[in-house]
Amino acid sequence: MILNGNNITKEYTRRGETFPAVNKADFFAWSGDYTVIFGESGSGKSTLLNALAGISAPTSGSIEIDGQPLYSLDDESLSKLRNERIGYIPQNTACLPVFTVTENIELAASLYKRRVDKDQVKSLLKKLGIEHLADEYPANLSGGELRRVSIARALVNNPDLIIADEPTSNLDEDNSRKVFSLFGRLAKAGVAIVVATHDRTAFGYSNRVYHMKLGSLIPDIGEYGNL
Amino acid sequence: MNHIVLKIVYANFWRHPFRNIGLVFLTAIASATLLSGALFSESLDAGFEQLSSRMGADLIVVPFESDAKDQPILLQGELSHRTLPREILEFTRNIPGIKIASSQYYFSSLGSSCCDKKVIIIGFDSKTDFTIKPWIRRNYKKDFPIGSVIVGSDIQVDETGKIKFFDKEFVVVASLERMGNKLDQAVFADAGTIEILQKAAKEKGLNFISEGKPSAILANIEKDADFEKISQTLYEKFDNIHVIPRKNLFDSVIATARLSKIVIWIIAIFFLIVSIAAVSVSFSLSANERKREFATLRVIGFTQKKLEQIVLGESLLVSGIGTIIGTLFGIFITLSFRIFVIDRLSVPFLLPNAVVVLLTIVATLFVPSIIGTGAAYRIAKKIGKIDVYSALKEET
Ligand SMILES: Nc1ncnc2c1ncn2[C@@H]1O[C@H](COP(=O)(O)OP(=O)(O)OP(=O)(O)O)[C@@H](O)[C@H]1O
Ligand SMILES: [Mg+2]
Repeated sequence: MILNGNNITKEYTRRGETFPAVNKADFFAWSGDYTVIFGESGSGKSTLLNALAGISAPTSGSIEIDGQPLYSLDDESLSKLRNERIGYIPQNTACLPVFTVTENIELAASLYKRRVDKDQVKSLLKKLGIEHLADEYPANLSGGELRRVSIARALVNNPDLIIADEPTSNLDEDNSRKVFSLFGRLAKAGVAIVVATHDRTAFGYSNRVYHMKLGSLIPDIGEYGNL
Repeated sequence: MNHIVLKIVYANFWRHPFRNIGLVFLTAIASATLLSGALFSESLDAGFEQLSSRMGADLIVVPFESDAKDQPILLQGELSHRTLPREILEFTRNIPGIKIASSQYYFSSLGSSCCDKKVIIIGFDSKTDFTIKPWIRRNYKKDFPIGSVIVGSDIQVDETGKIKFFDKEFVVVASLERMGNKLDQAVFADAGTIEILQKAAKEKGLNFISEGKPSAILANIEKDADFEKISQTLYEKFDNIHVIPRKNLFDSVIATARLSKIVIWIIAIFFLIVSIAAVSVSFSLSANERKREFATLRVIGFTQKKLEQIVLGESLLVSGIGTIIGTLFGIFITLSFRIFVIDRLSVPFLLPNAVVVLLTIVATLFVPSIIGTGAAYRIAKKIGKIDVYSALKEET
């Protein structure tokens, strides 16, 4: 899997003025890469990740997965690709309150195929420390527990690209470690991981670090990364 | 539709059971009034066609009554027991311009073996009759022997095939097809049988029946004859009569029927609009409060189309259930109010044939469902185009 973003610019308009939330960013990730994007609030991390995840087309620039420009796909193909190959964990997600934790995860698993691997769902929940909540409804879960449900949901189709936007924002240190080391194991198994975070624990696992500042994406050499 | 979409649609119905059941109820009322409105209108039209083709007389002479309405005596609520002079039939026949004239005798039995209610008995003269016989002929081709009667479709006859009036038995030789008016509850007899009936009534001490005096004269006139002149001749000769031309025959009935039709349609359209508004408002509210959920579904790979299908599916489920309940209810109302309409409004009411009824039902099944989904269509399109990132940031 190769994720290749060139000259990505995403502009927003606020009070009649157009400004780039992401400004000419180049981004590259291979299978097995564990990338961390660091940057202060409002620097454009989420905007960039949305573009990389096939959620929102950039104003200009290109994003390709295995040479396929994402945004030249029609909605049907792009949606299928998101479901099967991209596990995106947005900064804020929701669960459908009418379904249990397990059913919410199966929603993603069975969207484009009939059979759901029940054991895989169970083992994912276990890895994330929420197997005891399998049959609970989202309304009865804490913020951190819900976070982990959305992580499980993103991982259920064994994507080869995982994009996580502050995945540990409301988790304690122990659970944060669990998540980052799970990502680490997945990266070793050949999954490309992209994480935007403030959480320094992440850096210990990563092999590539970017800085985001006022919309610009700057590769970090040295300070945090182990490149 | 995708099985996951169906699953979501179904689960969300139970998320707000009261609201959705309320919407189901509203759509049910709308489609019930719509269906019964349509069936009522069709039935009234069919009833009129039947009535005017079978009550076809150019003029009717009846006894004068100060409060008489210009409508066929048989459709009035109460039968009058006033009669016309015996010689009026012969006189009418001999007026120039009269093509054919025949007398009819109306009275009601106080009790009979068949029915709880009073039964209207209509006597006609089979030798000259031109209004009743043609339609009896459709079910019964033979003679009218003395002592025999023909019954309307609503009169139940037991297995003996006989019916008792004034303690005397009469043989039922035929049962008529439905007319959709009071005549369905009437018994018909030829002049010969009427004589026996009247004698029997006399023996029981009932004096209201005046032997041999007709209750009405029905006549057809020549093409170029002048109705005014004929009625003038009749008025000059007889006191206390009332000559009704054909054009006035159904006036008040038609007015009642037209009014009831308008009322029914107004009610139906009112409920239709209310239920469309309710479905549309409620779905737009619920779609808004669920923006984050829809955005999340987009993230995990739902297409725009699938989101649209969820919104449309949910509204179709609600309006579909409502429509089905409403349709069944509408059929029930129409059938059970049939008698009420015939009795109270005194308008003819005849359900159209099965094919028309079926087509009407199918049409009214479609209307609320289409409108229900139509009301949600705009919302569905909006949800399909949802801006995922903005929606995810929204507080719930
Ligand atoms: N819909 C929008 N319209 C206009 N401006 C927006 C919109 N969404 C975000 N922005 C602006 O774009 C910039 C980047 O936002 P973004 O959400 O990508 O930041 P972030 O790095 O993810 O921040 P945080 O760490 O707080 O999540 C911010 O200045 C923000 O105010
Ligand atoms: Mg962010």
